[in-house]
Parts: sequence; C-alpha cells; structure tokens
Amino acid sequence: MNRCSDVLVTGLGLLSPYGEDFSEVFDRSHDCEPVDGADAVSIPIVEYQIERQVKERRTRRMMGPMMASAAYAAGKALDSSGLRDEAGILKKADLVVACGPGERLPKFDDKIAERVMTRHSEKDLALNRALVDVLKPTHFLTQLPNLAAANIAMEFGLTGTSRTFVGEDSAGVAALSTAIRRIAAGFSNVALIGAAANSECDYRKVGLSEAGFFSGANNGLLLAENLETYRFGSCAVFLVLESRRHAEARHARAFGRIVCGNDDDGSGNLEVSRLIEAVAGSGKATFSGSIGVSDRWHVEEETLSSLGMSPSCTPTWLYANKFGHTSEANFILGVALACATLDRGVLPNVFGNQGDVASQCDSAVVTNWGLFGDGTLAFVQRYQ
Amino acid sequence: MTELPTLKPVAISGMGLVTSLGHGVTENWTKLLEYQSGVRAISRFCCDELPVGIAATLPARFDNKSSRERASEAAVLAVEEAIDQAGLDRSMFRSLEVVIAAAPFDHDWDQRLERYSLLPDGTYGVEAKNVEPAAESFTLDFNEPQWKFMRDATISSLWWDMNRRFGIERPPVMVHTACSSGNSAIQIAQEIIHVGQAERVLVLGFDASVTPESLTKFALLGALSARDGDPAQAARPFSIDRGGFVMGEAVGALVLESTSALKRREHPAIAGIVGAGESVDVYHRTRSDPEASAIVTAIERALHSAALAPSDIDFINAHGTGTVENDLSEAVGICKVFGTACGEIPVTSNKSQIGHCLSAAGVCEAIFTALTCQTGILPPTLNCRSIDPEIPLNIVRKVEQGRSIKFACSNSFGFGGQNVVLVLAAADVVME
Repeated sequence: MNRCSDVLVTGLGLLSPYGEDFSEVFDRSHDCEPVDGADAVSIPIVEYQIERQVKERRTRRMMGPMMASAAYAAGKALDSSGLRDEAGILKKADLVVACGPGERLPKFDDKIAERVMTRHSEKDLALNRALVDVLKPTHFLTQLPNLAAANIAMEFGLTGTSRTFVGEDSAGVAALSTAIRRIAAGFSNVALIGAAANSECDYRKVGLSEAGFFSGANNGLLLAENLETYRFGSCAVFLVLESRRHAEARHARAFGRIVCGNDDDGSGNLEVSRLIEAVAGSGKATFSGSIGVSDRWHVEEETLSSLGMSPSCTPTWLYANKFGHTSEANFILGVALACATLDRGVLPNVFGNQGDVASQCDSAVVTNWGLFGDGTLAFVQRYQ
Repeated sequence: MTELPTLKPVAISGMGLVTSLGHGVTENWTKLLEYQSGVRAISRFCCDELPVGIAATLPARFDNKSSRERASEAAVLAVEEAIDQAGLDRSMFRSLEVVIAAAPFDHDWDQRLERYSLLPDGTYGVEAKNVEPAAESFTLDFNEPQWKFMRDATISSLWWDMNRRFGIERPPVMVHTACSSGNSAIQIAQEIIHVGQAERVLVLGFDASVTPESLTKFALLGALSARDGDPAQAARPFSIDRGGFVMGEAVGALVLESTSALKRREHPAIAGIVGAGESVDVYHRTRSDPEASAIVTAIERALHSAALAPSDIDFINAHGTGTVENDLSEAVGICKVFGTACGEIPVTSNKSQIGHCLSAAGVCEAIFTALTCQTGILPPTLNCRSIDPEIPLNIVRKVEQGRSIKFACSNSFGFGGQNVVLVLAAADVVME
C-alpha cells in the first residue's frame, strides 16, 4: 500500500504497569518485578503525577482514571515529538483516540445500589430517587468516550479534527488505520493518536469472570501454551504520526515508518503478504499482541509462518504476558514498544533467548489478534 | 480556507430506518410529512420521580429487551432494508466495509443490581454471578449464557450479530463523537471510498439508550425539555418557547458506493454525499460557543471538500436540538457562512418529530436529507409556532413540495466540541 509509505512515527508517550520510560519498561517487565496492586485478574498502571502533564486543575477534575492516564500519555507523546509548544501545528492536527465505553464511578454506583437494595418494595421508584439524588452533572463527562479526546484537545490545543473509536480491541486498530490513512491521503500532516485501558473496571472484570476467563479450568481450554495466564491490563499509550514531508521540514526525529492492514481481505484491499514484502534485511522481530486465546493464536501463528516469520524462528514477544490484555490499547501499545525498540537499535532482553538478543533490529511486525474481531498487522521500519 | 483536498462524491444506493415513528424509510418519511411525532410518555419503565418521563423511544415491539438487544435487533432490520434496496447480494457481504456510529453499550440497572450483594465489611459491592455454561468446553460464543453480562456492555458484540445474520466478516470501524457520531461515520466512509480502500461501505448509526439513568444525566445538564402537556409538542427547535431536546432512539443504515461501482452494476443512486467537514471546539465540554467559530469552520470545510460555494446550498437539515443555546449558536454559524442568504435557505430540524437520536442522529437525518434531494419535498419543523426573533433563519414549518434541491447540508454537533457537517447532493448531480 504505497500511499502508507510516507507516514512516520515522531513521538511516543507511555504510561504502563512498568513505568513511563521505555528502557525502564523493558527492564522491569523482563525482570518480572511485581507491579504494585496487580492481582490474579488485573494489572494497574504505576502511580504518576497527572499535574506534570495536565496543568489545568479544572480539566483534572473532569477525568476518571482512564481519561487522566490518556491525557498524561498524550502529553508525553507531544513532548517526545517536540510539538508540545507548536500551537500552529497542533491547531490543525488530527486527534484520534481509542477507548472503552467511558468510565463509571464505582463509589456512586455502590451508593445507588445500596439505596435500592435496602428497600423491600417499590425498587423501581427507589432506583429513580437514588439516580436523581446521587448522580451529578459531571458524571456525564467521564462516561462519554469522546470526552477523553475532548480533555486532550482542551489541554493541548488540538482543534483540527477529533475522532474517538470504540469496540474493544478493534478500536485501537480503527484508530491507527484511520490516522495513517488520513496522513497518507493528504488530509492531514500530523496526528496525535492513542488509547487507554483501565483494568480496574469492576463490571468488565465481573463480565470476564462470569465468562470463565479467570477460572483455572477454563484457562486451560482458553489459552495457548505460550500465555501464562489471562489478566486484564492497564496502560495509556500515544503516538505522534507525521507525514514524511512535514517531519523532514521541521527536522523531526523519527522512530520509524509505519504501515498497517488487515489479514482477512477478499477485495484485494491490502494483503498481509504485501506488508511483509516490505520487511527487508535482518533484524526482524514480532511484537505479538496475542492475548493467548488458543484459536486465534493458531491463526496468527499460521499467518506469520506463511510469511516466513514463524514464531519458532523469528524473535517473538507476546507482550500480553507482561502487560495483560489491554483491549483498546493493545495494538497501539505493541506499535509503541516496537518503535522504542527500533530507537534502541537492538532487541530488548524481553525477547529472552529467542535468537540473538543483542542483534540489530531494523524492522518489526506488530500483530493484533485480540479477543474480538479479526487479525491486523502493523509494520514499522527504522527511518534513516 | 483550509489546505484540505476535495473529496470524491459517493452515491447512496440503499437506506434503512427504524425510529419512534416506525420501521422502514417509507413509513418514517410518510409520517414525517404528515406532521406526526414519535415523542410519547415512556411506558417501558417506571418514570415516577424522574425529572422527565417522555422520549421518542423505539416502537413497542422493542420493549422488554435490554438496551443492547434493542439496538442489535433494530440494527438487523435497518441493515436488511438498506442492503435490499441497494441490491447487494451475499457475495458482497464477506468483504463489506462497515462503519458504525456507535453508542457504547452499558448495562441496565437491573443487570447491575443482580450482581450486587452485601459484603462482609457491611458495604454493597459487585460480584460475579455463578453462571453455568451451556457447553462443557469453554467457547467465545457471545450467545452462551455465561457471556451475557459481558456481551451487554461489549460494543463488539454488535458485529458478532451482524456476522451471524449477514455473514459480514470484516470487523467494523466504530466511531463515537457523541451526537455527531452519525456524520462522523458517513465522513469516514466517504474517506475510505475516496482513497480506494473500498468501493462500498455500509454505514450504521444506532442509539437505544433511553433509560432512567440517561434521562437523569441529560436532565441534570439542563438539556431536556421538561414541558408538561402533550409529549408530541415537547420538542420545539428554533421556537421562541423551546426548552430543551427530547431523547430519541433510532437505527439508520446507509449503503454508500463509489459512483463507478454503482454505474458498473447499473443500480440507481438515491442521492449522494459530496462533502464533509469537521472541527473541534475547545470552548466548553458541553456548551456551545456563542460565536459559533467551530461551526463556521465545519461548514466551510464541508463546502470546500465538495468544491462548492455557500450560494450552491439549497437546503439545510439543522442539528436543531431545541435547546436555547444550541439553536442560537447554530443560527449564528449558519448566518456567518451564508450571509444575507441565511434568511432564504430553507432550514428544518427532524428532531422535532423523532427526538434527538444522539449517536444515530446524523445517519437518520442524512436519510431524510437524501429523500429531500430525491423528491424536492421539505419536511417540517414541528412545534415551531413562533420563530425566535434572534434566529433569522427560514425555518420550514409547513411541508413544501416541488423544490429543486441540488445540494443540501446536514449538520451534527456533539458534546466534547465535536462538529461535523455533511453536504449531500441529488442523484443526477452525483452520478453525472
């Protein structure tokens, strides 16, 4: 897909269970250092100081944990790209966000539930009264998914376009594809694109638990042998994408060049093989977004093998083993980790003994066969 | 003016609709032109002591279903109608691109309350229910009982339903830009066709989120009409006595195609999308900028992308929610772009009859605008008995027939500063 060839990654921002700095993230995730607050079902992000990125106190008050982490990582990506103070550029930039269905506030939900459950009759009426008494106008602002983008737009002055994508794992894919397409087609020169996921979502944990995800017996049926366990993950990750022309004109540092596409395409739109053809030279690695669901992992394994990138002979890191299933953020997290690797020049030790870990890494494939939807690949290549 | 390129026109080859007025594009259009309203007292749940008890809910056949089930079942009907009219055969479904204007699913309170229990520390907390799987082995089948709670708050499950019903295999792009989601979805579809990524895209907009909680939240923001009396008269866009919007539920579907693809299969176009423009307003998260700067930018970008001048526009389907602030700022924006002509271009708000269908509004209103381009008939703005003197627009209050509508704008604005404007055109203009 030639029109994608001109899109560069010029900024990275991450907030993860292992910290913010990519070197620290690679080191800590390799050492298996326990994350404070992690348990058998979920992995939270590290503590951080939101004030460092979000200066407006009013904006901070409007955000739940997921939205706050998104704004923080977005600010870090802008810092990394050198665009933080470029108001003229940000005014015209695309803002593309993938996130879940907004954030409920457990404290208030619990209060409403208690008011209803302590009643023995007229529970419908009790619910109505509790809703009217307990809910506040600001609750709406954390429960609209696109308010994550609105907070970022207001804090950093992005007034070009704003698109929020939902749909669990496929949200991240749609966000990245859209941002790349718009730059490649000349609709835009710069995009701030990212996602956030918060594992501390009680209802999602309950839903996954009822579906059998955290039961040992079901895990055996569910998970491929390469995933240790299923856990719900948290992270916020943002990229700055830029047209080559725009990046070169401002002498921006580029982490890599990026293209992406779907695996299941009967229309000749984009085939994985055409993506992989572009993987030139040595140093190939796969950052697999697999969350370990057996059926999907086997399809991914076959696809990669058919392209000469069998996980058994290509350095492959299933980063969900360390980060958990980060849903909307899963794919973009993989791209960020791959770009950080290209920036280091060598594979980090998280790849273990798969291949020569000290070898140069000039290009990488990122995969996403999540819980829902189809497989998608991104290809990132060092940009000289 | 922007440096944005112009967009290639795309044709509309099929449309499907389920609203409070009924099922089917024809039924909806007929009732719209008969001045009927879908706004009524809510009977689906108890509204006692809620601030508002009216809405333009989906027809009664969708009662007794969860929010997710209402959306999904209505979506199947709308998609069926759209693909039938477009004449798509099943061989086209597998690789069909789908863009959805999505209202994220959320659990209804009865589902939540089933998971609450008294914890040892004396507080109430959420716990998983012990749900027996239907099969011995673990599966990823959303239709199995152990998936229900997860499914009802999982937006991807809508794609699962589309896959099972129609065999559509490509996962959809699901966009949420609050009340401009529908226009965003259509804009993204036009971009996908423009760059050649696909020659045909199914666009779906849905919102079935009228619940005690959503009514309470909108009321707390002061956005809803709390007028006593006949519910059908509660939504009064652009009227001097307007007092807020009425929540609506709807599902709309459109099949958009490249003009070359449509010509190749010799299928007629209903109308077309020729431009789209968006902008971000950082004035306030929920309030409209009285200067309407971002609205002006969105309209100008839409006209630019269609290579049109303001004088080319024959009709405007307004966002027209019926709130005091929004209608005023929309009028300011329209006047700034269209100048003295703003008092001549006919302007209508469908929300007076089908309520504000939130995430689905843009798709539903694009369907009505396409019918206006096709038929030359302008639908009315119901309940606008006396136009606000601060709104110098030509509000259509009575159905007008026999107009020649070559180009029309359809506006959508949303919380979070989202503004998306579409330009539609008559079929002969799009296909020429």
